[in-house]
Amino acid sequence: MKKQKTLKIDKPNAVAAAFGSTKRKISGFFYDLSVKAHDKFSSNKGQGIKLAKKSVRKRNAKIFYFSLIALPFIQFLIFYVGVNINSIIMSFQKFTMIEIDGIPTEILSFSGIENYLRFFSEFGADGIMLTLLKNSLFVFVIGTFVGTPLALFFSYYIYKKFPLNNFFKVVLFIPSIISTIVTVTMFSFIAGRVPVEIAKMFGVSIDNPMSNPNLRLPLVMVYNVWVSFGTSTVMYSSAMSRVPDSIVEYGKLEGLSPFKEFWYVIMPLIMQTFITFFVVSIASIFINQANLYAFFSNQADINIQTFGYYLFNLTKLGSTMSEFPYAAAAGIAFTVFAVPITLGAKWALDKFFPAVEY
Amino acid sequence: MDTIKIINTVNKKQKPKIFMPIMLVILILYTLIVFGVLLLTFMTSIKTNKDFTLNMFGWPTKFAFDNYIKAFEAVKVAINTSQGMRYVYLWEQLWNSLLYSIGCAAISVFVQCIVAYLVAKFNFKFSKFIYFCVILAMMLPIVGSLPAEINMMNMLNLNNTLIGVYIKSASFLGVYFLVFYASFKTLSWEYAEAAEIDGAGHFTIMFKIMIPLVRSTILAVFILTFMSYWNDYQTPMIYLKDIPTAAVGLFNACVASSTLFPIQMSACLLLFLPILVVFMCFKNIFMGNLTLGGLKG
Repeated sequence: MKKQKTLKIDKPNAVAAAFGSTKRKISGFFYDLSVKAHDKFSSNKGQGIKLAKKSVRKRNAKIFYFSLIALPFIQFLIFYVGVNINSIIMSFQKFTMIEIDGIPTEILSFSGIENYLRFFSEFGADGIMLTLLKNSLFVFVIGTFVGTPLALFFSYYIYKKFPLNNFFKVVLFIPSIISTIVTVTMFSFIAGRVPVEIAKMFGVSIDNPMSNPNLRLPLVMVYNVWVSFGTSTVMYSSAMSRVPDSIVEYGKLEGLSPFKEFWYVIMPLIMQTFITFFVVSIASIFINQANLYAFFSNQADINIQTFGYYLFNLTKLGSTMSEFPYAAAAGIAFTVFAVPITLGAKWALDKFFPAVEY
Repeated sequence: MDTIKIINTVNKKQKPKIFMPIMLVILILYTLIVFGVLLLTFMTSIKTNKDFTLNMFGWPTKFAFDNYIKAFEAVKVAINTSQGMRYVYLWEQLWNSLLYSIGCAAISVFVQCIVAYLVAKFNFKFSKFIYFCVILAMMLPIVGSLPAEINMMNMLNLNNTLIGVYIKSASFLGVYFLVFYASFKTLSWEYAEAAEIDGAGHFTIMFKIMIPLVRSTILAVFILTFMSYWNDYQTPMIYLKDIPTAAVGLFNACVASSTLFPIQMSACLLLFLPILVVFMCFKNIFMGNLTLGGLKG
């Protein structure tokens, strides 16, 4: 029988083994610490400071930004948001007279939807709202479909540097820098007296056109178109000047006439500027006074009044605020009509005339 | 092929260019109307009332330049003070107009410029919100807020004070915000970065580097805003009842009272002359510096 060899295994010294293991653990712990410290303070040293500097810069930027924007934003909250909220609240109120210490005082009290009922009743057969709507639309149509094309053609003339373009640029701007009162006074005088004097020269006697109820609003619109060219001409011609010369040159080589160049090249490229003005003019259908107050003060006949004039007159008329709640309700109602129309127009224009990048 | 293309181009019938002559005729007519109106106004302003009645459109038979002096007394607005009623004459109205126009224009331009700079150059979420508010305010037709605004000014005790109208004009809403925004957006941020490296803070960068780069736009907008406030008669009529401006005085004289017509015309020219001088001095500045982008969003 073979003798089995057995391996002699020395039993480890228990104490030595425990010490060794602890030593390993301790040294391992300190090793880990040193690695972490090395990572943090030596090889990542620059990154750490960079990160610290970046956060300080961002914090300083935020302090600068918000410290400057705070006051304008507070002004916006009070005079835009606050005013509109106040307008909504006022539309459900009315002024009632009470006595405070024997002094009659007007205070606002809740009146429900009384103001809105009054507003909608004005759309009835004897109501004035339909007349106001008709006049406001007339003002918008003339301003947009007569004034705007003329402004575009004038702008194109200036952009193409046709003869005397610098001189005409100044002349087109003059009516818009003169005070409305000044131009209205001059225009009323000329539009009222010149036709009468010319008719006299031919032995015909006619009335002052400004006193003819059928001619008043058209004459006012002639005035409005006459003074409207200043800023829009400058804006349109600035937009046209950004059109790349290469595109214009290409059009010339293709033999485009000035009108075709205007219609097929320039108009698409300035469409965004045109849309901006068009949307703003739609938004102002219910606000536009058409300078009626300058012509007639608060005495304009109801048959020529626009929404804007009507509301301004309600607010301005007299020294009391008794009509303010009704004016606020009318304004809210107009806003509810006007907002979807304006946004819809913007959507439609952006869809059918998308912006051209160049 | 190139030769054929050139020949075809040359052989194309040259359509008569009628667009330019038609526009030239219309513009000449427009110019004649504008200058005719101004000439007639001047001629009327130097006539006596009798001369005007007998010879409305002719040259004055007797020159009455003293109409301009009479205008200073004729154009007046009655106001209520603690000592009772008194009249504000044209000299004082012109001074009020200066205070109103310069103050409101300066504050309005400053606020719009600063906010436009912050929105254009700092890409925070709040900037997008501010831009959205401006576009929304332009597009949303808020009608009939005047009564509420007057009520608000009364509640804040700002009505009938210059401070009140200055605060009211300190709004960043409006088309000129977009003009400034477009100007700042086109400026490179490299100038600011270079200044930052040299140790400049945000205020220094804004006031000494970025804003001077758009000074011609600032000047253009300031002049246009100044002219707009100078000619505005409705806002002072409502919010500055006891501090009437020249525009309000002229409105009273021309529309709401029975001042003699030649004196009305001389008052009109007195109000127009400062604006004409400002316009002729600075026309090149604002006629070349305004661009407006589209409404996006």
